[in-house]
Amino acid sequence: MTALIVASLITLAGPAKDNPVRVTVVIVLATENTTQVDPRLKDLAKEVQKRDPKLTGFKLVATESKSIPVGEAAIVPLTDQQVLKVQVDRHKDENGRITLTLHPPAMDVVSYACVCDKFFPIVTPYRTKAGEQLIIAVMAKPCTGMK
Amino acid sequence: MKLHSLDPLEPPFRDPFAAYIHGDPQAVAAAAPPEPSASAWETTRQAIHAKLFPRSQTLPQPANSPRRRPWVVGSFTALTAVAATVVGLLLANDFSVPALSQFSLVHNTPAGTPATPSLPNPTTTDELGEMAILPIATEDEVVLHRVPGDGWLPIGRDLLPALIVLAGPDEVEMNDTPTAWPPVVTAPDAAPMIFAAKPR
Repeated sequence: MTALIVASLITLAGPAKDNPVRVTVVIVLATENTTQVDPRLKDLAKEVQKRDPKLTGFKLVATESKSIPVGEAAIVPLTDQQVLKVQVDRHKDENGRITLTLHPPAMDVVSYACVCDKFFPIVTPYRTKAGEQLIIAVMAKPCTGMK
Repeated sequence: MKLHSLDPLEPPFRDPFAAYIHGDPQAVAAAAPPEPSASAWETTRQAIHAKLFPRSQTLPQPANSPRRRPWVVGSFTALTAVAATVVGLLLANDFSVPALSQFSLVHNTPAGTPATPSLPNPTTTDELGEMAILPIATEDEVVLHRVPGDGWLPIGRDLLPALIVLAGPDEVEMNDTPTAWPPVVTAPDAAPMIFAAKPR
């Protein structure tokens, strides 16, 4: 009986290590020309405006979600044929953080660890032809993974 | 009844009906009804137009009217060519309707269910013919991969919550900060953020 329980635990624990991480990327365009803010971006707009009050309009372009195995990378199309390369470096660690490496457009590589289920924003230097600033916010989960 | 002459210098008699049956061009042309005159065509055209547009509209100019300028014809030809090119490109690249193409849908197969291979059936033209009611996938059976920001979500769970929650100052740790970046001082009440915007 004990052996059966141990075997079951091993079976359950094994695949958890290989479970892919679900990475959600929110694509936002900010502008100085409007004051319209998507209701879902209210907190993001507030934080960005602390750094740049001129950015008053925040439009949600798209949201993309990808399942990426640990150690692998995926490409997320953004806007204007710009792409974001996302690599999952490490599953949830002892602090409950998932480590990602991002390669945003017109920027150096960014590597960070963030708690699951919360977004980490990056205001990129890329601007569209209309002068809109490209902002991405990245979230990874599940929160129930390796510890 | 006319008798055939035996004089070798006289041209032989030809039955016009037999010549028409055998496809003689002269006989066919001779049997064709006369073309209506230009005035007859115009009368017919005006009669048709009077039926279609009674009293309220003016008559359109005929095709050979001097009012039809060459640049109008040229513009129409150019627009037609551009439209044909666009349609050709769309068909060649197998584009679908843009509003729908922004959705990326994956139908979930329940675990343990063997995948059913879909083989083409050349004899079936109406694939919905045997369905009394169109089966719609439930919310749990669809995983959305990409959703446009202003799109309507017909089914499936939205990838975003009602409000994006940012990570707090103690919830993010930068691993490799490029040395080229300026030093960033984070306020205690500010959410961590990489602000790489160029100065205006």
